[in-house]
Amino acid sequence: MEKSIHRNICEEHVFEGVYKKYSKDLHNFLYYKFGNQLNPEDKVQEAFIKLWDKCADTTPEKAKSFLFTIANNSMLNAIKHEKVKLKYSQKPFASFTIEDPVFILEEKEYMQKYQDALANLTEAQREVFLLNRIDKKKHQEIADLLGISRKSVEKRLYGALTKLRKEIKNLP
Amino acid sequence: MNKEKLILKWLDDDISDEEMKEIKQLPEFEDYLKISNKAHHFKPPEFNTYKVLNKIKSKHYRSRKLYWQYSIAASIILIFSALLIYNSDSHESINTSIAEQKEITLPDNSKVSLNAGSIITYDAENWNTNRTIQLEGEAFFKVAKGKKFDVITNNATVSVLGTEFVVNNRSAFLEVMTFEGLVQVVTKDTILNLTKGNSIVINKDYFSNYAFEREQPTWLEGSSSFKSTQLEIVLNELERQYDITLNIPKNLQLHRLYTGNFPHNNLEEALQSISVPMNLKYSLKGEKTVSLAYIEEK
Repeated sequence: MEKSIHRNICEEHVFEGVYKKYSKDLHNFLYYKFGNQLNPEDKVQEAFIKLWDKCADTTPEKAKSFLFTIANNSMLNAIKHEKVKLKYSQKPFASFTIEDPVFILEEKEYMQKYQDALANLTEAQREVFLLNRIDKKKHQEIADLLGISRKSVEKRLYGALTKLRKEIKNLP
Repeated sequence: MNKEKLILKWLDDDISDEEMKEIKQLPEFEDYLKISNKAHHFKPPEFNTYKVLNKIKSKHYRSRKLYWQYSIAASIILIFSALLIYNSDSHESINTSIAEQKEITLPDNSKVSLNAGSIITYDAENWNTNRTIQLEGEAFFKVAKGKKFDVITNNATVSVLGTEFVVNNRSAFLEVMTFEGLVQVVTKDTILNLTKGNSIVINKDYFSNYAFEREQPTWLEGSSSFKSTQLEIVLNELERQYDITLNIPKNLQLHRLYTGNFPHNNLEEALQSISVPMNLKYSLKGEKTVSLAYIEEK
């Protein structure tokens, strides 16, 4: 692991460095895991404010796990335990102007099924799958981010992919 | 190869052409490909890094203000304690932000020029007996004659007697250039002596040295220059000199070596001096963001 000469992260430029490194990943992680019912942006903000309040006791190396734990817990405490449904965006369809209407309908149906299947994944499967497919993160990067082993990342990832396929295709 | 292993390699973007042929034979692969291609429809809402950072800063400093009465009380106590107890911890810390340079004179008249995005820490009180500086980033030193002078970085300790030299230390990257006298570089596995006009570069497991003829580093004259330096290091320096964010595509080979320089006062020119020789194109997105891409072959 990188060693730093900073014993804590109270100085503004050190804090900003930590912020730039982790804020977007933290935001996307929260969104994939909990969806949008509580604003993930607010939770990112809260977590970083708490981190700054505690900056004197936190080294740059410890900041990541502090942030992910704090934000995750405050989500868990606030959230109603409902199924998380991530809405798919319709935008790309608008650009296909001369598309066959049957095709458009089929595509829409497919995305509906995809959305439901994604909601039926476990939180653990969904966050790993979307960090990999949308944020293009390597398996090792995800493992480092979530503080789990690469093996468990891959187990969740493969589980997610096979489960999505089964649900979308109505396979047993 | 085992099916699961093959699919995981594909998901990690770490698959050979041979394996790709094999994976295409799998009956379920078409479904997986479609699932993967459609995943982008679930993209999270755009996260505005700057907006949120500003909110955090304003909240942080507001909450600080509330405690000003306590702070004053605390400071008075502190001043008294400081008078009572001899305080040997007198560490000075000086840093530069993006696109900023500073010149610092140390208690013995040694001079330090700090390049952008760097920080030094030293003990001002006991400077004459303990000439030790901790450095993160890049600095040019003109050392006054005297006892041993050490620059400590996370990659190595650089020691001298009286000389002029540059230390550039960015995470796993270290560059030391000697402009005058003799410098000793001590890493965890080697000891090297560098004479005038010589330099070394250590980057993870990659190691090289070269000779040069300049009198002082080019960044003191408003440009950054590189000799066979990994593109990643060059792009990081560009971000530090211009306060911009670079969007770097995944397929960009950041370990390719770059030789050349870029000015600090003209972003377009700087971008051209890097992108043209590296066969890249760039596009400005607003004031603070630049996207890089390979020029596609026809």
